[in-house]
Amino acid sequence: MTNGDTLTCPSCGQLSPTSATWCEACGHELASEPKPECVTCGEPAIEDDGYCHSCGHRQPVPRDYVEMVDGPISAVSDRGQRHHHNEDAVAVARVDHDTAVLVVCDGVSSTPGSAEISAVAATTTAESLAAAAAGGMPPEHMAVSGDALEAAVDAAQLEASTASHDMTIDELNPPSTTLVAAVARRHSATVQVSVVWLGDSRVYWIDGEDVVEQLTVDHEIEGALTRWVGVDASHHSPQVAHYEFPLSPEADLIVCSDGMWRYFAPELGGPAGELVNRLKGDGLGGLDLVRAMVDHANEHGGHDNISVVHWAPGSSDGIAGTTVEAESDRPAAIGTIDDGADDGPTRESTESEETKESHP
Amino acid sequence: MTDFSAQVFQNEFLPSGADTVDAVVTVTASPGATAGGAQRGDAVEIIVIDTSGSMQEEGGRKIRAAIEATQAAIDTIDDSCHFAIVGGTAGAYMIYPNDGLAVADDRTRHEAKQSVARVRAQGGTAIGSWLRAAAYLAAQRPAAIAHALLLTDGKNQNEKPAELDARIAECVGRFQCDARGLGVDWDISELRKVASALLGTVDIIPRPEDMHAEFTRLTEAAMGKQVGSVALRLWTPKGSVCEFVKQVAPSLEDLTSLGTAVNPLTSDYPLGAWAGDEDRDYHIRVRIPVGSVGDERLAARIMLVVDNAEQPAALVRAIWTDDERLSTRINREVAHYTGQAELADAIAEGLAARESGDGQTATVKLGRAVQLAHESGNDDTVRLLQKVVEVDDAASGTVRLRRDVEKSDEMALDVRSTRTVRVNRKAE
Repeated sequence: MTNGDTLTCPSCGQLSPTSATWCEACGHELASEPKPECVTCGEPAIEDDGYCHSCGHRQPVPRDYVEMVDGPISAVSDRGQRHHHNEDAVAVARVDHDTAVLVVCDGVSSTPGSAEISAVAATTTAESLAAAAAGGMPPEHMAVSGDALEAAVDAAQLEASTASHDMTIDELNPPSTTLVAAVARRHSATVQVSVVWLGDSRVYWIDGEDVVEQLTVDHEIEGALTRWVGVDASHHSPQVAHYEFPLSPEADLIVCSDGMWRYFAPELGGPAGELVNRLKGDGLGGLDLVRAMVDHANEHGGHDNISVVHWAPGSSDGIAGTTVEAESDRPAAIGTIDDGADDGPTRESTESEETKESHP
Repeated sequence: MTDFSAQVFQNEFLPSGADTVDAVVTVTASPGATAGGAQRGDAVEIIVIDTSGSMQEEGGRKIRAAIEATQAAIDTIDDSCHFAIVGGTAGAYMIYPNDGLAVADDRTRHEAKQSVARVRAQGGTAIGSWLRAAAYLAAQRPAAIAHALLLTDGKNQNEKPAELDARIAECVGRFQCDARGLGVDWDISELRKVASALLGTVDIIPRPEDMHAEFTRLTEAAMGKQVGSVALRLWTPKGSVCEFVKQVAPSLEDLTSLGTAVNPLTSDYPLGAWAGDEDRDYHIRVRIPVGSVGDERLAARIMLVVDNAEQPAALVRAIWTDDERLSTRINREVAHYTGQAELADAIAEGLAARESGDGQTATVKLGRAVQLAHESGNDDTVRLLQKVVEVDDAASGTVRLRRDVEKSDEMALDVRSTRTVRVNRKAE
């Protein structure tokens, strides 16, 4: 704080020469450089620990709002209006001109450390799936094989557990996160979408106002998660599914956390298809579209962290810049769902007994 | 070197609209890692003994015990510590040395004990003038850790209350004072005022023969102090109100009114002198401007000022949430000390009701006190309460007032009602 040719000690009020580094009276450091301004009250008083020394407000941290763009793939993860931290994480990967990986992990806010493991899980999953999609011939009608999807989740599970062991955690309530990943691949006139998930984060295929396919089924009973990723969930089986859709210029693939899809209700501005198409009608696409979807959730309360990842595989600004003819006669999506709970004795589901509150 | 640290216990989650933040802060002094060991600063010890006429009662038993206890205390004063023995009547006079402070060694301790032995009890009681003498002596060595032990057996009859208050105010920050009342004819509120303002303790010495142990305990504790001046520096955000700052362990002391402003958002609360290894708990309550759900705000930044050097210590936070599971969590430390404060209040109100003849209120309040003391594992207080009430069921607080209660037992309960137990000593 300068005052003519003297400095006023911010701690005790003693005047010192401007050359002084420390207050002679109390030893308080005399700031030579102005401190950053508070986003709440505007005082240039932000301490090194991130709190305003005038009004006390914690300043936003980078994780509070994350944007990610990889070519035409866009992602936003936002703290929302009601949560104190952003425990969601997003990850994207552009594998080649025709293939994209979209991942959302929603860290459970009631379990300390979830923000750390959701980030680890999202990144690990995206890397693992990108590697799988990049290597060799893909199986027929699938973007990647079911084994590759499960292997990616296993890798995420392992990394998340390792991260948990490195943290001080609540042993009875270890960090946990949902996980959903979609690998989408353009193949001649179709888009193949392979999906893997644990928990209640979702994947949507939206093609115009009328075609809205939810590609996942929530692992949730009465608001409590029945499957998740975390040290206490090594036995939870991921669920995988493969779809094939006609490549359409209007098609959007959206991966999101429940902080987004809970605002897809008709009374909150329309179901997913209406919302996305209204925003696209306003000329929004790519990152702008994703931002607008997050704004929609925030405007309606933003009760949870909001994460949205988007790719429009058929758009003119698509990965390869391909333009696609609109299909007038859309066949129904080919969907095969493989519920991992049924695939063997080593992957038993215990969802009737074991749940985790996901929406505090 | 002595290291200081602070740890905060709180539930930082507030429900929407709430503005009150409670936190318990444990301040710990520990021997520093740096070499040099227990290098204490300069120390001053002043023993002030009541030599009024009443001390001659009981055939001179009280004054003889006081002389003997003071002599024992003199023996505990470390070499090179500055000390003085003051006699108190309607004025104050030097018992040893003739003026100023003596430097402790074998010769001066011997001389001091001889001078004390010649003391005769006669005259009145003016505690304010005794404090003024102690302040004069402490001022001889302003940088030293100064401690006074003050003993009286009677009320402050030669001074008006306002005079005592004025003398106490003059002494604040100059020395710490432990005040002791001998027998049952002294006034608890007078000595409590002295001890609270001068960051010391107050207690009853029921019988003359108990003086020896108490005097030596107090002077030994004074000799153990390593750091003379510690303050808790509290920053609270703009627009906030500090409701209180209380020491809650080892005993309850409200420090709120002792705070001095450092700047508009920061105040210092004196914590007095510290031994090289001790810890004390403080309960802080701040009212801050309400934030929105999801907001996090610093409710208090706690620093420690040790020998005029400020060091960062701990943060008290407020996070507004609509998650009831978070906002309704009870913090164990805050709840425990809130209970200990309620216990002290229940005893004070119960004794006041008993004094005024309101047996019903006294029974209810003291019953509640028994219940709280029992629940929190404050066994010493349970024992003190049992001398005043017959306990039928401690868990439910069912008690009956005793008919014949020793005055000294009632006073002991009153004066020791502010003693607390630590949070981890809960009853089964």
